[in-house]
Amino acid sequence: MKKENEVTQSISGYSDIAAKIYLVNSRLANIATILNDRRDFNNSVGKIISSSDSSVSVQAYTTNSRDIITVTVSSTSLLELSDYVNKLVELTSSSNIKSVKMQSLSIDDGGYTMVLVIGLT
Amino acid sequence: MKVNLNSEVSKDQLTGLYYEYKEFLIPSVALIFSVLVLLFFLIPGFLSLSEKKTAADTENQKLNQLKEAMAIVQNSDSNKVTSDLNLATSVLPQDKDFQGILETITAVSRDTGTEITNYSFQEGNSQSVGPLSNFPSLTFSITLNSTPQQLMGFIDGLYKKAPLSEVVTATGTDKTAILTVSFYYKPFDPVGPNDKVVVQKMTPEQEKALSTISGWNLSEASPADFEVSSESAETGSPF
Repeated sequence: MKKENEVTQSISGYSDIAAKIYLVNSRLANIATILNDRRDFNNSVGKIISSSDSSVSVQAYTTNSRDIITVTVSSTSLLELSDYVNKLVELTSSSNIKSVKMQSLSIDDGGYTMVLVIGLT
Repeated sequence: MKVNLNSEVSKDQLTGLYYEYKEFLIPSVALIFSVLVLLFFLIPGFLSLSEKKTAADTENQKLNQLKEAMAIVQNSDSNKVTSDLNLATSVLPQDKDFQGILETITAVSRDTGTEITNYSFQEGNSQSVGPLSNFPSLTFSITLNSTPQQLMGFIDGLYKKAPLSEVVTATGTDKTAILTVSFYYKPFDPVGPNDKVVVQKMTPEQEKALSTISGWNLSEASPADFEVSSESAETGSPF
């Protein structure tokens, strides 16, 4: 106890920097929590969008929850749309894309439009 | 010798008893004394040994903690600690930082070539469950003229600026987008005069967080904002 008091006495001279160290650590712990848990858009929506090229364009997208993205893509070529879907399926092993489901496929004068529901982990 | 316990004991009888059993007297007294010592001193003492050891271990632990704190404090560069505190507090402010948020949105929009056509905000956390539900936030709804690719750049830019943000929803077409973004803040935990807080080495997670936010190359808040007053140093003593 005597030793404890001696050390406490000697540290009290550094109370300003000690308080700052405590605050920095506490702040960084909170920052780490947010960085780890916030939604990683680049690894999900970003990859879905960047998988499209000039032949396939993203017409619309909606993501209201952490685990589902709905994307509407269009192309003049059905083969290009198929390639796009394949690229997304390949991403299931390297990104947080869990599933790719085709909700609808329509055709009009401008080409083909496909709505995909993409599940995320 | 038979003794009638119901009759009055005479002095002679007692003397007789004394002489008959006198060789047992001293051992009996010694035995009774030993039993009493055992009952009232040795057993309680033995039982309290483990408690005393636990108390001693706790005190030793405290002493080691203090010594470690002392070493950390003595080896710390005051300017670096102040700079880290300013950076960390600009990334996760203590309070709603409207100015910082608007400056960030404007800067990111400029950098990514997107045009903000509308925005609104509301208070309250958009997360009702999970670790982030403990963090208060300001939620902005931002409408942009942007392609999906530009939008990704916009989100990436937001994620590398202060204050910390999270895109909660995104809806858009090939030309426009609407984002819901939470900007987090967190008041410092109040520390009372009797609260003991411990100065410890940064954990690997904390070091990683510091390294990440340092890589964003943010301009720091004024060091004067976070001077620790003598009063707060007393009331919220880290020891």
